[in-house]
Amino acid sequence: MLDRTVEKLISDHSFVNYCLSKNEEDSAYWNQWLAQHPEQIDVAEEARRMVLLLVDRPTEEEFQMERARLLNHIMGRGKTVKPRVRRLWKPAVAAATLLFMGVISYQVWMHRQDSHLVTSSNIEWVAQHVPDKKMMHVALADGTLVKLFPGSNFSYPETFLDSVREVRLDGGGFFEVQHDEDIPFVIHTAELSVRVLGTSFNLQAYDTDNQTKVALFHGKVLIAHNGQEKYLSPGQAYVWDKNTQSGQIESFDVAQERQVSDGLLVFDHAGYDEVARQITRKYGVKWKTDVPVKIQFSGTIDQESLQDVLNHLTYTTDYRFTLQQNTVHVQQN
Amino acid sequence: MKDTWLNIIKGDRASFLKLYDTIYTPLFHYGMTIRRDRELVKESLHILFCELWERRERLPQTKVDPKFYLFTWLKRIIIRQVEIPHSQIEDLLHEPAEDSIEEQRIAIEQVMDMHERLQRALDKLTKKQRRYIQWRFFEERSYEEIAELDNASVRTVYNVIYEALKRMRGDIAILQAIILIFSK
Repeated sequence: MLDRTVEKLISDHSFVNYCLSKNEEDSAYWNQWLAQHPEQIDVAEEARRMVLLLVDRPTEEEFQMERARLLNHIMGRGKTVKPRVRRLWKPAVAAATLLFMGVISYQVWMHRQDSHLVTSSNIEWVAQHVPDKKMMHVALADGTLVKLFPGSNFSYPETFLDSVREVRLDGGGFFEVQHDEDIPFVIHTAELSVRVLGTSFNLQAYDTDNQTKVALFHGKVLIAHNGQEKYLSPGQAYVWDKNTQSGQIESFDVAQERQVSDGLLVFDHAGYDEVARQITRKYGVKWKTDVPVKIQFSGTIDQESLQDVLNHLTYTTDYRFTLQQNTVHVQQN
Repeated sequence: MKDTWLNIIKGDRASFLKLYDTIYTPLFHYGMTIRRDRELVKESLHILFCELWERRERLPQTKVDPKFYLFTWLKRIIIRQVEIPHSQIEDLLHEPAEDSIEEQRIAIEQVMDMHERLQRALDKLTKKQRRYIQWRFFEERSYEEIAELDNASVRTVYNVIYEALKRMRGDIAILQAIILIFSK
């Protein structure tokens, strides 16, 4: 019998199953194998330990979500909630749902700092990444509330300066900015900056998207863009198109825009790239296609299942959208 | 670590987070050896750190390294949360008495060290290798699933993972480093 190396064993699916006691068949096989090859016990033991070391790690997403959840809890301003201590663990209670249980206060430090906006040396910047499929609430030091959309990166200072409240967003969010006439609130995005005076609005400014959009619900905002400044009034949206390098102020559907902050996706003659990007953020899927996909999709996606969404795309375009193992395959009809 | 601990007692949140970032993964690993249930372990860790923060003023200004304290604390929380048959609880609770405190302390140091080395080994991998390792092991996906996810052949996925493991193994030199209480 040829020697097995540690790497070979770890690469062997059935061996990993054995280490994790996944099924009887693999366990039986490897127990027998070890009985027959006592000289391999050390190698197998090393491989087994390495498998456990690799498997028993939190994923990056798990770590981030848990970290945010803890911070959410301990930074909860004024309100101390006892952690849920239960005698009987019920796996049905997903840990993630806790995160959204109407918790208002929310503050997060990240080890990976985004510091290019630091204007005072003593202030710590906090960077928060929102995984696909998730929304996150953040409460800033001044009481401003931000609901971040999936796939966003948001950085903000632990405390604000006396002169200006600055944050940075690559992504989307619903902002309810604490009113303070003397200290403007400024959101920097890749394309433009939004200057705010106590107001609420949606901002969609993913670095990878063609479109940057500010939709104002209440109050007033000033948009600084390419050296120009534009005021928005409630009900108005500023939309910038990176491709055509043109921006315009338009009116928007307030009720629909409100739903955007609850996860509604809105498409208006959207091309394939945009559709794929947005669906990826919301549903966390990958895409695969061998043909150039030319679609123009208009419509909304709310709480539908991914399968319904793909069916809808299939019915309304010349392509077939099928889901296999978390990847959407697009084929021409 | 000791300074971090003293700062936490004083209420320094940055130190608290530093501790969290350093020790979360080793604790997670340890929790999984007690009970292989990710959600349970995450919940227990959440409780551990909430309690730690809430009781910070009353924490012992320990003479020994505080890490040790956290591992035992986590174990107690896990036991508190699950219905482990009585005999097993006995085992778990008595186990520390069998190993000397010093042995356990060394064990914990080693697990910390191993995860640090694993992290360094992972950092050295190519992006693709890291992605595949993450899918294969952290998310326990099959080769077929990974091939599907990444539009690659199963053979390629296997080779990439094999090469990655080979590379990592040299960095980790694991065999010597593992210890009684963690190799249940």
